[in-house]
Amino acid sequence: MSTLTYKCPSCASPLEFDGHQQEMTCNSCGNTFDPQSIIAVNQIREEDAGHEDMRWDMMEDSFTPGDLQQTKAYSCSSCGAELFTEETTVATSCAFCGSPSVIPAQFTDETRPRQIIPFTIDKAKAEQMFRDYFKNKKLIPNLFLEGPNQIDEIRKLYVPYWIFDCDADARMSYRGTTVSSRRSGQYMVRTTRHYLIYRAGTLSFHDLPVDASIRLDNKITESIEPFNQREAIEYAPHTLSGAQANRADVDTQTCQNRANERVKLTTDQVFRSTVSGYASVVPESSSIKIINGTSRPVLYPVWLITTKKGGKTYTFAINGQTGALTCDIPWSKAKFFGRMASMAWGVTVAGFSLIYALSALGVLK
Amino acid sequence: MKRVFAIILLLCCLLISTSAQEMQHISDLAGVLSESEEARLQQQAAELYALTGFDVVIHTTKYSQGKTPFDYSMDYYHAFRDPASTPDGALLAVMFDTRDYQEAARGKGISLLTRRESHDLAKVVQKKLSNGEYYSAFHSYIRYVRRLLIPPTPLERAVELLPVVVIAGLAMGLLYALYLKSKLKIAKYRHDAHQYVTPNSLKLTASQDIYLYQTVTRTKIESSSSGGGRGSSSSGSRGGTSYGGRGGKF
Repeated sequence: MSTLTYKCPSCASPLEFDGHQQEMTCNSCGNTFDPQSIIAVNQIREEDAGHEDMRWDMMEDSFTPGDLQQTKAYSCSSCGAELFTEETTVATSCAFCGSPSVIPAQFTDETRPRQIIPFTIDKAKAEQMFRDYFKNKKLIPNLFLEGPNQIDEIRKLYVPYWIFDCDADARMSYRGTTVSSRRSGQYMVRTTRHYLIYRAGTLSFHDLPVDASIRLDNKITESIEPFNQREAIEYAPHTLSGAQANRADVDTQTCQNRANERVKLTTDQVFRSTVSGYASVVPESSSIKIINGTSRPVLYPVWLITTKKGGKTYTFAINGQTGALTCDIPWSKAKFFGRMASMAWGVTVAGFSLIYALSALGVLK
Repeated sequence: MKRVFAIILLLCCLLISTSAQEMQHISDLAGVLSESEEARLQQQAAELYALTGFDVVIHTTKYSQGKTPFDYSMDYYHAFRDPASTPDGALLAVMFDTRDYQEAARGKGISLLTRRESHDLAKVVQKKLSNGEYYSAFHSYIRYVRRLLIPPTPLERAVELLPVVVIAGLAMGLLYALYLKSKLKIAKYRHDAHQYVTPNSLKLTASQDIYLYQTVTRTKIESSSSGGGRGSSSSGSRGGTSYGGRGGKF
């Protein structure tokens, strides 16, 4: 199995796919190329490749059987170095020459992405967003305010998602009451009317994403939603050039459970909003059937930044399309209550003084 | 000369103090107050009298002699305290046989108390009397009269409202801290999928609101004529002395 590297026909530097322009860009000489031309050039080169074989059968495998199951070796088509990647890695860069490499054969038929959303946030912007995050954040622990926060690693990553389309066929019933009061002689008569409220119908969902990467916490991937699926393009291997990518390693059945939870909650809320005019409404039963459910694998762009503080690694994720940012840096409870107390003290002193002044002026009696 | 003035001043103070001590302000014929409660109320009313010259009498009875509450309280006050010696004052009578409370005021008390809205008095005593908190009701009444006679200083007013200000401060502090927390982009799950609902895709195939049954509750209204709640006011005279009254049921 070989890797694919898209090189500049002009200067032989690695090419990156530019999602904005839908072109392959050379960061070295600045030229841009039509992806189809580059693919054609690559095909010609592939025909010539594979002839030379200078491997030395000297070394014994030093991997355990477990490692071998998860690790695969490839030759960098740029410098020829042997690359070891996890079996789910579909795009990476050579550890020796830095050339971006795409390994499309890593995709299985099931996990081959149908679409991909290109990056529109570049690396410089992502780094700036990371630095800006620490400004004017009053509840960040002091650990992050003592000295600069260095980026330990920044990765341009295509994260695999399953996206789901479905219709939710729902049947809901509620108990509702209306209340009316009237005066009858010396009595106030309060009448409570009880109703059974029934709603049935369908609600459609489209492009609901569920993170299909086992390594990334769903908390992080859900926090940087939504992605605009309308800007997705058809997947082609060249679109991964210059980024890292993994294929889905959580199957669609497992991801369905998460999709179902979100579909159910939303369907409950939307159907509940159709019930109005009651003093009280209590859900009695809820039955939802998923129909016309489909799922497909896609790749979404994420900048993944890690920083180390106090011996711990913290993760930042930035939506590579919209710039939405999230992180797992904790908030300081001491600062939370400190800020709350200082504000409460200030308001109390100001309020006390104001009442005193208004009373002294005779405005407040 | 200074010594003479000092002796006269001391005598005056003793005289006022003695007369204040001698004046009975509590007449608990119904026996709803303990001795210590009675003593405390007596002290509060006497102190008010010493400060302002305004007489407050608290009276309870189990027998209102078939009179209207106002007539009973007016008669009792007129007989209990000579209008000539104490022209300004008010009596709060609580009649347990008819469950009425009634204020009878004279002199300065009419303008100070009777001309105020009737539900003013109800707010002060009615709920506490209904709950059987008699000492608290009478204590509140004396404090209420005192407050009308001696408006609080700006500092007292500010201290009175301090709990409200502290609660408002804590609420503002909490809102501010939550706002600061919302600026942190801490990762969290998204439990709903509203962003992925196809616009206008909700199609209701059934929508029924089926009436099942009704429950009816009746609550007796305390009418204003019978007192409870907002109370009522009236006026009259005894022996050439004008009285004003407010009262209600408890």
